[in-house]
Amino acid sequence: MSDACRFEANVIHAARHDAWSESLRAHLTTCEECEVTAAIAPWMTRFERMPDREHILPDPQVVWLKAQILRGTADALRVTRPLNIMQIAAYLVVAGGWAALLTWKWDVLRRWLSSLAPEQIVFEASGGQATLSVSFFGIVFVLASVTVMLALHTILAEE
Amino acid sequence: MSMPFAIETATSPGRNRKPMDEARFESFYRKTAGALWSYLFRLTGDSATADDLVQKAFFRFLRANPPLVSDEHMRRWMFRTATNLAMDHFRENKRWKRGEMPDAPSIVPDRGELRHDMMRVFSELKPQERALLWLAHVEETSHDEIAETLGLKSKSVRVLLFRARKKLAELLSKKGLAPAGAR
Repeated sequence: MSDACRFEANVIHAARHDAWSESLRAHLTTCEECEVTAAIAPWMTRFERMPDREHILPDPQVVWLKAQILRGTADALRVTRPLNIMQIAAYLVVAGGWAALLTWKWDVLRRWLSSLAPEQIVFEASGGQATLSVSFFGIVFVLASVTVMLALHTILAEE
Repeated sequence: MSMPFAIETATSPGRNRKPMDEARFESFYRKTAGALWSYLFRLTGDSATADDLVQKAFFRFLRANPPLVSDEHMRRWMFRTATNLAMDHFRENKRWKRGEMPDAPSIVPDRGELRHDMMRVFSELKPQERALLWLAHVEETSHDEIAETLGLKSKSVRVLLFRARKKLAELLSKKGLAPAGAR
């Protein structure tokens, strides 16, 4: 509990309504807290009654409706948050997949690319080796499909 | 499919409570909004900010769906929420308006010179001091309730309120605005 002077509320009330009793006046001489309360209370009352209500507050029905709309927006955000997180995770997985594939098969891929040069085509035609496996193309196909699906999902979701 | 026109919140604290209906909200708003606006206007010194914060406080009220115990309980909830919003506002201003005095309301002199003087004196107090004085003197709130509203300890309220009153009394006498007291 607070140890406020028990007359504090009476002092504020007396100052607000200019209704001082003799005992309350006498109390002010013995209580520093109430003395300072009484000193500022009339000013606070004037400050409170200062005309400041020229402008009109919004209608309660407007506030109610706005609250409904905001609630709908907040609900939509809450519902779509897991989907957005999943989407970001999918981007990261696909990007990681491409990076891993390129790192893993980089040497083979570089050799395969250089084999497309005319002199290499001649060399391979005379019995050179084919360097890329079917599984590699399989993985490329899967990753490309997932990338396209993600891109389409993003575009359609935004629309 | 028609939806019941009442606030049903999905947030856990009020999930199982009966939502407030529009009629009760309207009645509560009419009783509380004016006092809340006056409090926020004195706290921030800006009517547009007070408008904004009043609306935000009511939006939060409807979203949180606090227990509908009594109007007095809900009113205290509103003042607590409004105080938090005002303090957030001051913190944001501090961040964005570097170099300016963030605690002081942006008061534009208007046709009421006295009003302007009063607002300027009040703005020289810290936001917490303004809130303490308004709640104690205008809302006639008890120290325990002030403590709850401002997130302070009850014992601290007495000391802080005393300091705020002394500071205001000094400001008033310095500016020659001290009214005749009880003696």
